[in-house]
Amino acid sequence: MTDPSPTHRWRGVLAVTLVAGGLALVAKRPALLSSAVVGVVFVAYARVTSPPSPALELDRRLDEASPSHGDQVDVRTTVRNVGDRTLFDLRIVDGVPPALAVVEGTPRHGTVLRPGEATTFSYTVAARRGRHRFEPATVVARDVGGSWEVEVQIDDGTTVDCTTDVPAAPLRGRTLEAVGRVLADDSGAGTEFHQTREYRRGDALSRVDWNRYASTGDLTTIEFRKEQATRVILVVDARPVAYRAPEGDPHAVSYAVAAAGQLARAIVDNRNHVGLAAFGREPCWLEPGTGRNHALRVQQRLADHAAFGARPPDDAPPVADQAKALQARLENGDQLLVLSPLLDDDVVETVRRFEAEETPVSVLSPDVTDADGGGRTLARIERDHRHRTLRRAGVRVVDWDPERPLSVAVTDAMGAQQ
Amino acid sequence: MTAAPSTENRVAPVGRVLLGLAGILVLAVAVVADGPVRGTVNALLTLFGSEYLLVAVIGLVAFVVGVAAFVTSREAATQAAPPDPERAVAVPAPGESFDEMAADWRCLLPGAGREHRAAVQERLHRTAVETVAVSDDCTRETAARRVAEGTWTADDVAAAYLAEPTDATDATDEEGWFELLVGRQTPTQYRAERTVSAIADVAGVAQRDEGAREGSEEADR
Repeated sequence: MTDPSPTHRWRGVLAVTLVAGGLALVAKRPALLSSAVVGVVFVAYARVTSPPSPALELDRRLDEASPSHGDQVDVRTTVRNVGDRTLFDLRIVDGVPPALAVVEGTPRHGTVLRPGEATTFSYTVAARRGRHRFEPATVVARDVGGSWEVEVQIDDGTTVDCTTDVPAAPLRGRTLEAVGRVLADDSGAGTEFHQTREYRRGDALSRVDWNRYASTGDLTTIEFRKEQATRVILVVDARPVAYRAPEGDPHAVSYAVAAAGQLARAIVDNRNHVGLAAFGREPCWLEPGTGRNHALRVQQRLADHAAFGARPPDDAPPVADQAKALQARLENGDQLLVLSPLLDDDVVETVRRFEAEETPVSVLSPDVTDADGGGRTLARIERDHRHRTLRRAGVRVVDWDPERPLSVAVTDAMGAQQ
Repeated sequence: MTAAPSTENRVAPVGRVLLGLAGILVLAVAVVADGPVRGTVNALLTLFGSEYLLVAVIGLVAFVVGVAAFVTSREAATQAAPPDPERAVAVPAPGESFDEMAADWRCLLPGAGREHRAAVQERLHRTAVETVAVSDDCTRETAARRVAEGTWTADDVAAAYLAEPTDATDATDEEGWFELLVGRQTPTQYRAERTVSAIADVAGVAQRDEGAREGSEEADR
């Protein structure tokens, strides 16, 4: 809650009162002097009243907390006065998630609330792909005379989750010595066929290729590709240049942040380790870990850390410096999954440098270009060229049109790769 | 979640009430015990010479203070500025900075605008070479030669714009100047848009046409 501040809205009345009173004295006009007394009453009243001290409680309800992309979501916000004084002038502005637009109704509401009384207002937002947390509602409370006001922020952490589960993350084949779901290049425990070889004593009978034995009489053993765990660092490109979007759409950073949350879940579900970093206004680093709790930690960091703010930063340190700091934290065997709209050459250069230093990189690129003529078309063509440049450098690139679910883009890309 | 009141706010009204009571008390003392008050008033009357003059001076002071309060009242008035949450947070569209650079009035200056024009031209040149190299499956050198020769596109304006490395000051481009005169585009903007369209054709990138765009904007409104 901010400190109460005077609005000075009665200052004009004070001025008129003094002018009228002064003129009345100079011109000997008793009637005018009497009228000035009315002003004195107003001014004195404004001075005597005390600032409001609101004690409020917020409850926000969504008709659908996990809508589909493009669905309309009704929001009902209830504000209750839990204090012991009447709040005479309450102006409430709900904290609609920055990436979403209101399509019906209004998130603003003005009312008077007696102690214990509540007010409810509703409006509709259009859901867009991503995980959108409501910002705190802003409440401005004024005293009855409007001469004092206090601003209060109330939050209840409501989130619109417009994402779907992703079966797997687009990773490269570098592994740890622990069982996971990333296919290694050698044979071992796994489910995917790798090769057959001559039977050796001690091979498990379940691994013998009995079909082949039946048809040719040769005793051979089937080998499967080894599945091992890997350490993946999700790197979200949240530099100012990544905060781009056609009018009214969520920007690329909001898509990347939502995708990072989904991918973190998929990575730990496949028994791999996941960490988090950012290229942006502030350094962000979450040590790789595994398990559902760690995936929740990643999502919490994505929701809370300043690097992933919904509003674009004014400035950010050069990406080369941030990449150097990230490189220093990596361990042998780590791989990166960079989430970037690829709207400038610096990020491409950074990815290529990681590859050159033998850190495998995959890129998931939300497409926020719209080829709407002039520079916008140029941006799309340049982005296509950056994709090509990265693929030539051996980087796995997943091009994601946010109009489609992320799971579809990832599955298609992984299918194409195989 | 709850927002609780601060203790300071609860203490403040007590002070105000005490101040008000003190004022009333002083007024009462002035009315009841008129000795000291009368003495002060008599001294002031002696100073000013007449009752009217004393009252007029008080009136003038009130008038001046009132005028000063009136003049400063607009600046003094403050009000909380709540956020505007109705629309999604506004960010630039990808490529918007290029459009701004091409439309910059400095591109019109014959000498000082050279740097701006060169930046626009250079970016388009780089993209055109890359696009031709991909679409023709040739080396960058071959693509650069085709762009320099102007054989990469059927669009004369785009071909001429990227053909020669000289600074295009727009002096010979009547169509470009016409666009400027009718107030639509700077010559650099006109040429850049034609060139982007030509590159998009070669790259096979479908553009939303202008008519459709205006139509959809109309519908949005």
